[in-house]
Amino acid sequence: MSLLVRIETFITAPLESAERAEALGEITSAVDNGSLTFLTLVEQLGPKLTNTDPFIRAKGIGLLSSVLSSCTTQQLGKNVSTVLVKFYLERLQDQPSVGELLKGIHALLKANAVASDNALQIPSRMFSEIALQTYQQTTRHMAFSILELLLQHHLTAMKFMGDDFISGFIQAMDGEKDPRNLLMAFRIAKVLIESFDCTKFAEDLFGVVFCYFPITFRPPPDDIYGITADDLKVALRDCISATRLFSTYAMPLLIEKLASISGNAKRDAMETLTACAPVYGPEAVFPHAEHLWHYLKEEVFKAADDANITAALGSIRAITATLSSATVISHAMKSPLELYLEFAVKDSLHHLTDPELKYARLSGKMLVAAASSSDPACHYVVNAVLPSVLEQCSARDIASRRKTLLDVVVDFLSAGREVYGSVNTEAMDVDDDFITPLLVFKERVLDICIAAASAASAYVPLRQAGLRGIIELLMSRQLLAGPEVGLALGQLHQSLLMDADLDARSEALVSLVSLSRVRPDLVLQHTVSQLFAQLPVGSCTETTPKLLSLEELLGDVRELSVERTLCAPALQRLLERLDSVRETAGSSHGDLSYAEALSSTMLHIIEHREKLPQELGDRNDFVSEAAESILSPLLYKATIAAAGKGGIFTTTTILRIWASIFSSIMRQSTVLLQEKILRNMIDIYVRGNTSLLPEATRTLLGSSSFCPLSAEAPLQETNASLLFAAVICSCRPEVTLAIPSINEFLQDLLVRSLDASNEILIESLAKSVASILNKMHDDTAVSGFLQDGILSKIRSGISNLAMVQQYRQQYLQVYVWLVKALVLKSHPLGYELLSDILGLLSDDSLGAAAAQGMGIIASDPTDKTFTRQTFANVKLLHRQRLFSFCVPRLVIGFQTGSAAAKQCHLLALSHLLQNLPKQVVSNALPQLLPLLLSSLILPSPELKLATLDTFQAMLSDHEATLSDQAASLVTSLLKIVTAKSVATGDTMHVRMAALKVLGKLPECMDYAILHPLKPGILRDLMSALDDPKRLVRKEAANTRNKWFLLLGPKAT
Amino acid sequence: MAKLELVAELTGHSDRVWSIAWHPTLPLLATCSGDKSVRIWKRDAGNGSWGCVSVLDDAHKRTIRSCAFSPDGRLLATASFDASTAVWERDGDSGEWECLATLEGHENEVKSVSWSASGALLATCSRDKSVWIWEVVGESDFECLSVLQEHEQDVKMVQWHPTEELLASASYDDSIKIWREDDDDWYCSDTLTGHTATVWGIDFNETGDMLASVSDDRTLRFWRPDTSHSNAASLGYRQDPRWKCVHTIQDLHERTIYAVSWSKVNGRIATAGADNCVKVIEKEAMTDENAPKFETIVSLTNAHGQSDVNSVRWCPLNEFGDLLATAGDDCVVRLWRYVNT
Amino acid sequence: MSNKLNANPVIYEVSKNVGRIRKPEDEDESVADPFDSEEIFELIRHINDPEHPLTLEQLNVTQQELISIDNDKHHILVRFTPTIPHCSMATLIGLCIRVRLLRSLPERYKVDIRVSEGSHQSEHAVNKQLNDKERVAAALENSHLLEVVNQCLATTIDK
Repeated sequence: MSLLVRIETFITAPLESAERAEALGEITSAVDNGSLTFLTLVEQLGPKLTNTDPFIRAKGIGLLSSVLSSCTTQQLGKNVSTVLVKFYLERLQDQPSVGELLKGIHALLKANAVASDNALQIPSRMFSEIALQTYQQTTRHMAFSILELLLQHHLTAMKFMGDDFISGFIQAMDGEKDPRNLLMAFRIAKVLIESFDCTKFAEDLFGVVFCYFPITFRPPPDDIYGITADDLKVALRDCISATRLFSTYAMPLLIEKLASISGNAKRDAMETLTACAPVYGPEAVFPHAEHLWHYLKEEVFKAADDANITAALGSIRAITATLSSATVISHAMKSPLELYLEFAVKDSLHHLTDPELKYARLSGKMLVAAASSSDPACHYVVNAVLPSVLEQCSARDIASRRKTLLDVVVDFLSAGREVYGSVNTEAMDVDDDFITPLLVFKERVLDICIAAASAASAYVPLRQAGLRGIIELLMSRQLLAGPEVGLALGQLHQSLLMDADLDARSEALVSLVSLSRVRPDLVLQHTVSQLFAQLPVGSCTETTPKLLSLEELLGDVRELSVERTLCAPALQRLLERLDSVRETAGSSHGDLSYAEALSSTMLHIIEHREKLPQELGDRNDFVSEAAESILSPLLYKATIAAAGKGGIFTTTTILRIWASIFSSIMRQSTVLLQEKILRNMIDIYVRGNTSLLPEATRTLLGSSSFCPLSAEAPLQETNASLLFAAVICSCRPEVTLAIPSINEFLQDLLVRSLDASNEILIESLAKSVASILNKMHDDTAVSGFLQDGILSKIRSGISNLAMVQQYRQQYLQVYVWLVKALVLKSHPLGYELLSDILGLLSDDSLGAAAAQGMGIIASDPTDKTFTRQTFANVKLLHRQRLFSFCVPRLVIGFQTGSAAAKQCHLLALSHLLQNLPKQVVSNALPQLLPLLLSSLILPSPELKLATLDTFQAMLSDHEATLSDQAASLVTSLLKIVTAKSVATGDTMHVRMAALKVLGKLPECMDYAILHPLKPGILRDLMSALDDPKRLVRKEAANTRNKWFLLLGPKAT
Repeated sequence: MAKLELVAELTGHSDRVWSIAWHPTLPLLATCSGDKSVRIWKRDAGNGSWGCVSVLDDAHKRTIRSCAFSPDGRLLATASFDASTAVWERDGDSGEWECLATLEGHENEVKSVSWSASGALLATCSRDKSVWIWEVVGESDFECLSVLQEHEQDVKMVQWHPTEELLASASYDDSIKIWREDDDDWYCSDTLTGHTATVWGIDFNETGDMLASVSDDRTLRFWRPDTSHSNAASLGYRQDPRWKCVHTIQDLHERTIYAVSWSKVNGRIATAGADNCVKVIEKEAMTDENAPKFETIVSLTNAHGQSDVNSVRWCPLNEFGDLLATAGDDCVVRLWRYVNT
Repeated sequence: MSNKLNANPVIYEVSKNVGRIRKPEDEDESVADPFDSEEIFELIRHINDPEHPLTLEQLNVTQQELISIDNDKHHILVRFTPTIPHCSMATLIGLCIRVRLLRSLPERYKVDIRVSEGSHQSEHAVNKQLNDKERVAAALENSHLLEVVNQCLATTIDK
């Protein structure tokens, strides 16, 4: 096809048409591969370009420009582009073509193929030939992009053009409305201001820019350019604040805006002012300073919203900072700063002394904002204001007023920190030549704060303010020294330990926690010791009068131990206390709960490290330390207790907590550390090798044996197996067990668990084995081990009707854990075994247990075992797979099964549903709803509760699916809450759950669906309001009120 | 031993039932409710059972507070919180009720409506403190004759005298007013004070020489015009006899008394109130007209379960003179027979 | 909202222990829990004041001590204390309490609502209005009023 034909197609074919695009493509590639030069193209286009029909001409140009913008640039030699630029510029007066022409020029510039001398012609021609604002948006956009490119690539050349460029731009931009173009125009203006000499045009330039202030643009709902009002605001602000030249014009106008407009626009004005002040400089700002103060004060006092107050205070800070930079001519006369502050103080002081103190805090904030801007400002304001504030602080007798003034003082303290730094700021960041003006006041401030913090007044906020003051003092650089620190801390402790009021206490605690970040040493030395001094040593008899309850004390310890440097020593002391607890014969309940409280505090502290990101936690040091100083001692303690066959350290209460501690430490440990711990564990627990125990422990142990994993061992001893399981189940998969034959080991553990009689032991062992199998990489090895006898043993055990039900259940229980391990990693064998369990749902004696089993398989254990947290092999979507495998079987089982079987199937189902990602449920929901609804009729409370929980969960995500069934759901729910009969399984908790679901409906379903149900529901809930149980009534009232508030779209 | 036997329980309203009106000539009654509807209940001549024969629910946008049949039984007037009063006509053949006219004018809730003995006048009252007197002109036109604005607070009920063109009104201002006409000029001829709280209900006896009133002060009071012209003081201006309280039963109910009905058939008085009770009171025979004695002969507790009883009405038909209708917050209307064994 | 009658009211410390302390019998199905003043208080304490973004409890308008209940007579008396004696919101506040209890208590309870003695200039008028069931019924058919009431009650819902 000849070039001419293609040109013809391009010209004649409709825009957006395929052949047009094709034609263009072919021409472009011809150019790219050099078979066609631009000059030939132009020649061939000739007739089009000279055509009398303006639109043909435009299209001709369009073709050329399109080729330019889409071709690769190597064909664009300097002289070619020179010709093209010339060609384009000559035609600029051909109005209909302008759009296409600019497109071409833009392409050339973008390709950076234009020599500067040519570039120079572009703007002058553009400005002279084109009245930009008469063209459409895209054309204008193109023009601005060209100007921007010119400034990027040919700045020097453009500067050479100087004033003409500026005036041209001013004309071009004048009247621009489109946000996209404006954003660019603002950018261009900024460049001009910064790199051109605008002195001559300052006023015009300012006028053409400032006329857009304040920006009121709101992006259209279907905005595709994503330009926000803020983008424009910022761009405009950058222009306005770009040069000192604007100050003369800007200041009066900004003030005028401040006075007139309000809300967002006002904030914009204030933020602009904040940006301009430093640039415009003291000369420009000073004349207006007092005016501004007035308007800003008005804004602060009117308190439209906090953002505006912040903006206003920001402006004050900026203004003061600017004035601070004024060079003082002679020391004889007052500097602008002094004059300004003198005025500000004079204007504010009466608010701080007025008896009502209505505006005291706000005036305080304004002065503080000024003070925080520079060293001289801080000195002036503090010296001028603080004395009288402190004066009254001590004088005032009304607590609330004192508090207000104290707040002002505290604000000053934090302003001081801004200027002079905190105790922990690096020396290089602050200039020590500056001495804080607060220094001279510190004693008095400290006194006042302490007085307030210890005030007997019933008005707690006063005490809290006092505490805030103390902490500010403690944190401030240059202020408190040795003895004063003692005093301050002393008060914090006083409040922490003695104050009867919760809020005051927690204020003190928060203060200490923040202090612990900058001065851990202080907090450790004093606070922590203070707290522990309160904790009883030895048996926990309530003889010694306690200021605080154990819980409170330990709670404080926990909070403080967030700080890394504190948690190790805290743990150590907790352990010491634990050692002191009388744990054997004659240990009282008090001792048990004390030990429990201590242990769980340790647990909290250790688990908290886990929540921190690695780098913050410096986990490895901490955890290896903890393994030594916490895990081992506890392990030995448990061993001795177990061998001693009794005492509180053999109770599951304590051991479960310790197990969690072990698990948490394991979770944070490296492979190496884990292996170390594990080796120790297996030696003592499996091999019964007590020789590894430390001397002291061995002597205590004496001759008594320790075999916590043996089925014969007494219950107290085997409870220790919890610790064993905790360690095994938290191992990383890379960990190698220090044992000759893994299979024998597992075999051994399994057999023990099958023979064991202690529920704890059974589960510990089963879980341990399951966990190991789950983490084994080699799947064939896993099936190999299982199918080599042990599985069949368990299976036959389960199905052996001759055996006592209890044993059959025990076998099933073990089986369940194995299945879980396999299903998690989607091991094929897992599903084979799973169907056995599903089958058992119809078993008269094991049905219920099987249903529970399904629960275990579907849910994540609370102790985090069999989750990724404990490095379990958890396949993606394994739950979905589990679900789609079970649901059809459950549905059939339900339809065909006996009444009892139905129940077990439903129970199993509800377990599944509750543990499933909601989106998975939704697909299956329609077929399941009938089952769920019918389970609300069955007399089993557990089942009902489970189902109701399911509904509760599903309502938030699948209201659509439920909507069709809403009526029948409501009916069965109302039946439950109106019947109130425990006989039919509607226990109070079932009733409450039902009411909760009813109450959730209005939140998530369409009014159209609910409206017809409303009257009936309101009526029937009446009877629920009269439920014999108060807790149910509370729920009923809440639900009924929710329904009253359901008023539909136009509820007027 | 007198008692009330439950004859029928009429259910159908979906909100509290406010008041009841018996048809003057048929075994039929109308009840109105917070559900914005009026229900017409009829006795089946065959098995004597009662059932709902029609529901009027298209005229009012809010609670219908009270309803009344015209003396000829052809019209039914309904007063509603929507500030309007509707008049319905009964189609002779179909027995269906159609809205004939809507009387607008009150500023807000209309609380009671009553037909005069002749059927030529209609009275309504409202929270706007006014009582309006309407004249029936022609087939379906009603013209306001007078707007009476002498009550200081909202007017709770209006009741025409059984024979004369004399109107009584009870109010939230604790008073009862008697209104008379003097060639087209309606005026307040007397104000009955004595109740210490809102007067909720009033009713005349058969001859109209006595008026009973019940109140939030839990008393039932009896009034009669003082006709002994002995002392001029007892004469209002325009020489109308003054009504004076001739008897008061204190603490008749434990809470507010909402309604009183004085049987035109057997002279018995029934009251109902917020204490869930219905009482029947009888005037002792042969007592001095100016100091009559009364005794409570029936005291029925929980007439509507645990709910307030809002309305009570004796049936005006001779053969059903012992029938008493009550309505309550439980959305139910009950019919009782007074029996004395 | 523009010019509030009581521009800056005193705010009171609300009782720290939120709600009643659970007792074992609360969970015991065989024991029937009688209604008591605390339960009533729980129902109304969180109602929002029509003027301020504060609850009636925070403004000390409602107090448990001002609630009495007689379970044999099924009678409840709730008294409340307007923030200022000329508070024009008193009736509205009372109405909110009335509505909240209408929606939350079994029908059998007869509820009287009054401003506590001497706490309001037009005590009698307010009380009379609050306890006139006809007035209340009419008020609740006024959609604008109902909207205001519902707003005040929205804060009583616990999600």
